[in-house]
Amino acid sequence: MEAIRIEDAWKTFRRGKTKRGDLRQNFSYWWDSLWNSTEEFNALEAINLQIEQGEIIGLLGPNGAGKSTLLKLLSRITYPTKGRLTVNGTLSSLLEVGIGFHPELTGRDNIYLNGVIHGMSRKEIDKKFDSIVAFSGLEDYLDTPIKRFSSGMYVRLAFSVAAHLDSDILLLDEVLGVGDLEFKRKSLAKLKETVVDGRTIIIVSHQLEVLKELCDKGVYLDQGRIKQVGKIDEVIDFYVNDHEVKTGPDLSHRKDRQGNGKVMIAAIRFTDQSGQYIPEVHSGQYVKIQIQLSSTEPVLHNLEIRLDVLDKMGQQWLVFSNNVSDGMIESANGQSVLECTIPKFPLAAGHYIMNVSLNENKQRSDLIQDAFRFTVLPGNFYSTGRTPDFSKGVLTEYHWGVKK
Amino acid sequence: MKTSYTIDANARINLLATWRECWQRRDLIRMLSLRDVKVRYTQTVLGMLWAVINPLVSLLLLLFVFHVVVKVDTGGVPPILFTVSGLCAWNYFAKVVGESGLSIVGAQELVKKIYFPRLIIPISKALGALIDLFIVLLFLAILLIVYRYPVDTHTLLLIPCILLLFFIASGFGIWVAALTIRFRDFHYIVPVALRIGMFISPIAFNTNIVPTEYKWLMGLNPLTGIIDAFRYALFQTPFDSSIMLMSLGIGVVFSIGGLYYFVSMEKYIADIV
Repeated sequence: MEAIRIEDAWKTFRRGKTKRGDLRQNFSYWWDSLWNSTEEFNALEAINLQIEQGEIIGLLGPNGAGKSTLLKLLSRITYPTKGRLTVNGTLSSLLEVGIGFHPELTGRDNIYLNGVIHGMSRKEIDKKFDSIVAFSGLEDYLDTPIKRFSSGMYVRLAFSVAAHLDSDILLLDEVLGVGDLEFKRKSLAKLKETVVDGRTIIIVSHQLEVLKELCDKGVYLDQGRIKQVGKIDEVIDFYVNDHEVKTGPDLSHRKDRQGNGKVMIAAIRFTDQSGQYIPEVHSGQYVKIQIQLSSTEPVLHNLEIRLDVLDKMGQQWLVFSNNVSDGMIESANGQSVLECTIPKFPLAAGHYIMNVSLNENKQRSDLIQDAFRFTVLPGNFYSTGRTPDFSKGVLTEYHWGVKK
Repeated sequence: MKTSYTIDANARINLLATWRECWQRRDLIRMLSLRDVKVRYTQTVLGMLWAVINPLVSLLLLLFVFHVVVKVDTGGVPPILFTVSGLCAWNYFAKVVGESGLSIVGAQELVKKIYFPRLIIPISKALGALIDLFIVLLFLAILLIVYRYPVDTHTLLLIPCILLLFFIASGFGIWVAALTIRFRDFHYIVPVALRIGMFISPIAFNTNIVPTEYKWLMGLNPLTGIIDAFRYALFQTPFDSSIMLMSLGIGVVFSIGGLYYFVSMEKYIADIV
């Protein structure tokens, strides 16, 4: 049976100016729209998709691809600009855990509140209450206001309610990213088991590993369009290769930044000892990472730069932060190039991703997730001509011998 | 819960379907209004007492101005009873309309993350405020006993009066909630409008003492009809039926209009809030 059918769904937003605000803004919006054609962009374009009952779908794509928008359309939080979506069966969306939790209320009250927000009836919660409490392991805190809960307890309570939803279709958006892993797996196992005849689940996550483990099918969204649908392994492979090609080291066109924008990270590149650009790095090589800044300010103060190196599964391998190594850079001009010298590049061969963030005067100026993708080739780290036979990982200098 | 649904960009507004859905989610309405009440009264030292203190202050002020300084004709009803009977309806109305304005904006965390009929938010505000209305009514009941006012079958008329008051107050609340999302200015307009309303509604004075050529102005105010009806139920104070009909008619039509506007806005709430 078909659980979800999406027919030619579009979602269009107006860029920049929004309709909200006060009367004056509304007036100027209307005035502008008379003279200029407003700039619109499509968060989703011509989406057609059928999902069968019982399928577990992984939805993947870069930031801003429209993944969350698609989930919001399916759960009726926002409406399509054009097109039709049909949902057969009850649907619960977990776009955030612990939605509607109120800090002043007790654990007990919040279980009821969260439950009814998710569409359970009070009777239904009465019936499941003991099971929810037992699942969370928070029996002793039921009458404590949850503002006194630790964040771990908070998430446990939230997941416990969520795990007891018995809707036919479930939408999960990055909720697997919070809380302790053990408890999440327990919740997820519970979610999968409660409906015997096959519950349909759609999961959005950047943790490709998680998707690979849980899903049967994958849907790859890019710039509001479906790029590929198929077996999860194939879609992940396609995504990883496809996405890599597009992320060049020039960052000036990137829009998905966070921060006040006072300084922007314009480019990242690897160079060798002499300052020559190199596209790929070998393990053990002497390299410099250069960060080109761009700012309208002539002088910048107290710069903190931080590079996080992860693999494509989201596992973190290294951090390069001047705060711990050298301290803040007290002043630099607005167009400086920051340089990180690494005498022996410590990563084993593989594909890696870099997140970059920059603070100026303790204020977040720029943050780009997935700013730069690079490949490390096998290299002569140990000066023995031999390379370790594993991919991904950190190399360090060591020596083996017999204790004298 | 409805098990299947179709989302169509071109779907028409269906008030009946919206109401049916709200009814299905009545547990949510109840929990949200209970939450408001609980949170409001557990955080303050005096708790429930605030529900009495607020109207008490207005009461003393109005008594002083209208019945000590200017002696207004109450048609033989003791001034304190007369004023409280007017004030209970007005206070409820002002509270609902005042709180509905930011209700959706205040619930944006919910609205952006999960679906439920958005109408539930202002409705649960109007329901939660009923507690305050009942506290003032209790106070009124005590006064009636103290003044040995006879209670008879007319008093039963209070029930439809309260229902009507609930309907009109939530109708205006819904208007204000929807308008505030689009135009934040309403956050400032509403308190001003309420202050004007307090003096052009017959709270401390009788509609009958308004000069005939201005009476129709009173008819434009939907609260006039309700307050006069409250007084008729309690003290059999005579009322002008054409003014009453006009006032209630405007209230009902306006409320339905608010409902319609809200539902037509509902689709866009998460996008613009």
